[in-house]
Amino acid sequence: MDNLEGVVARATQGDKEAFAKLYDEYIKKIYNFIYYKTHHKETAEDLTSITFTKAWKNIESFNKGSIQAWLYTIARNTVIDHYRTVKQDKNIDDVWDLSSNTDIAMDADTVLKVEDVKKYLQDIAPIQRDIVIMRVWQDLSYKEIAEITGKSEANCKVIYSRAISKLKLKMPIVVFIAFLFLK
Amino acid sequence: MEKNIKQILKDLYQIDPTLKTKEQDLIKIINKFLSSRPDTKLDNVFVKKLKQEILGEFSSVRYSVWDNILNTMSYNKFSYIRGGALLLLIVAAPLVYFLIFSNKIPSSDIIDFGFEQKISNTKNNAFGTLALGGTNKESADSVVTRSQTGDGSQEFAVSAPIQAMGLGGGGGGIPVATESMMIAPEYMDNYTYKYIGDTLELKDESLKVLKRNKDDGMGKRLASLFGRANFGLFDISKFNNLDVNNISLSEDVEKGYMMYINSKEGMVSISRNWDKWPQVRTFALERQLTINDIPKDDVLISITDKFLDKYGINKSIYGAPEVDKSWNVYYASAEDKSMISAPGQIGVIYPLLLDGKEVYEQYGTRVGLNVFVDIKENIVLSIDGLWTQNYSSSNYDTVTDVGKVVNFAEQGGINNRVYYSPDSKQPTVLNLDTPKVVYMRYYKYENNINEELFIPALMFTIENMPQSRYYGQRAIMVPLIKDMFDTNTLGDDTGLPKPVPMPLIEGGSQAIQDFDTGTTNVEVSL
Repeated sequence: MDNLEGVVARATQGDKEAFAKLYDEYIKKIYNFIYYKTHHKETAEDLTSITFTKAWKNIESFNKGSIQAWLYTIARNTVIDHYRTVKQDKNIDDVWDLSSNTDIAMDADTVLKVEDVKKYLQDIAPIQRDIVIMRVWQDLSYKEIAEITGKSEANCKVIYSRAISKLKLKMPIVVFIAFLFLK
Repeated sequence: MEKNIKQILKDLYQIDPTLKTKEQDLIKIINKFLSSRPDTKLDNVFVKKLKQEILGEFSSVRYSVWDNILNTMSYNKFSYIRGGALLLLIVAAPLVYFLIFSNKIPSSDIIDFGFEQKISNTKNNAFGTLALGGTNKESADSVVTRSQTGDGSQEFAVSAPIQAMGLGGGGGGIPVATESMMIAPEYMDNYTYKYIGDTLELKDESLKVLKRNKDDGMGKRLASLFGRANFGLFDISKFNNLDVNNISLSEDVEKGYMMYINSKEGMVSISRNWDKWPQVRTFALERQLTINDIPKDDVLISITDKFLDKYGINKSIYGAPEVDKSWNVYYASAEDKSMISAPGQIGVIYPLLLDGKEVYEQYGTRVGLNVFVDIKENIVLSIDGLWTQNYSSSNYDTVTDVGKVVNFAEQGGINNRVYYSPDSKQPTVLNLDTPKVVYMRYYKYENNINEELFIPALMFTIENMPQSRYYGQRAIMVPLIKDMFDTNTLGDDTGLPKPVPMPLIEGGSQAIQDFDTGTTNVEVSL
């Protein structure tokens, strides 16, 4: 995409073509991020719709920072709103927080696929889980993750090292690898 | 996004060289993380539709033209041609609309885009092997991802070469997980299938396979129209062999619609021209719809019928319309129904009839013209599934062994979707009714082309569809073409689909990476 800053600036002025460029640039990342937090195609599509609709309706309020981080934040909050509405439970952030016998629809192939790592990802805090997902499955750089989470790179490392201390005994290598992915 | 294991290990060793002593463990864990990444099923149709819904259509022509012209002209001389051709589309799209849709040209000049159904016969086996998974590398690679994860949802019967498992071949190892080694999640329902229908008889020794001729020169014919125009700025006749890839046309009237024509795929979709509708809908702020908001079937069909008639869309190749009730499964299975909202749009499908037969996807869903109705306003929202209908047909040998066919169906058919562990809880037996012969849509990817084939198949409906939980498959499909039927990973002659080998990374298995050759052996201790 040409000159991101210029495109963002035009989008904030209500330029639909500029927003369309942002849409094209980020739709896949945002959809995938939401899917990794819902494990259900139709739900991911609905929440992606809501995310980009909110973004378009509120683009004028975006004034500085990373547009990617802004979109991820909307996506993350949209997922949280969805689960807290559906399950009426303030402690649920995404599908990883649900128990195994939940009645929430999930794609069967995905359920099988994440089975091995679910128990590890469930044991860490949502923000740490998001970081692992973004780094390992979305291949985002550490700098991008820091932008999205609104934390400094150094701060993210601290958060992660604490996660390691907590979980090392359970699955030292898994956690250690997750940390090292965030080098 | 995939990082190769070698690079990941290299990064790790830079941080801590002592890790090299734990290489085998590291490989297992990296494999576990990477292979656990779900397939997100991002649907390009969804991406496009959402863009239209949120912003109105940004004509891909108008949008990409300027990018192409401005971004690429300075790089090479060919880009002038590309840019020029694209610029042509901007200027010419209204012309095309004028020429095609305004009836202002002599009838002899009207271009037939092939929306009337035609089937031309070709020689036997004209579409190459139909063996599941094919023989090309792309097909094998596409299986790799699934096989690594134990995803049995779609292509169990693929004959992927062992070497192409992503973890490589190499000597010595047995990269196959036996069924007893695969762990069924405790919370998954297990299903088995039992045929309870009438005695079958399979007489035909060969049947027609159809291939849709997607492109069919549509783009060239569209481009030929441009030759009639004088744009003044340049001489269009100097451009060689022009082809129109896609165009977008919209009604410049209040509450108008727009159409997107993808001539490469021979597809047309119609949706609202959001620029001409009162406001962009804000999903989050809308009143939650309830089941009572959904009109009755005859009302919905009346709305869609009127729309198709108004826009002159040919219904003769479709069967009687049906309202899509698939959302009802979620509603019926919900414990607290007050928490379930009705969908904002309901689909009415006009089932495609191909050579007189119904057409289904591999999961048993109908293929046809989908018309979506906004149930809040009772107005058509969009249309999908309008394709060119030129097909080639070719005869292929069929399977005639009834016992094998029934056995195949009782193993879950072409999808073999649900893994069954004998150690898990009592499975639910799904009864399969007497099948009917249909066409099953099947995509064969070869030489960078995704061919759309229609395979004669037996469709076994599930008599006692699970109601307590969403169950994605509506019927069991068994292809009747011998090529596809006989393909199975383990190479036996049972005709049954087999799980694609899954590398074991738990105890009892060992993965060894050979960085020089880029392959990995997975050794299994039995």
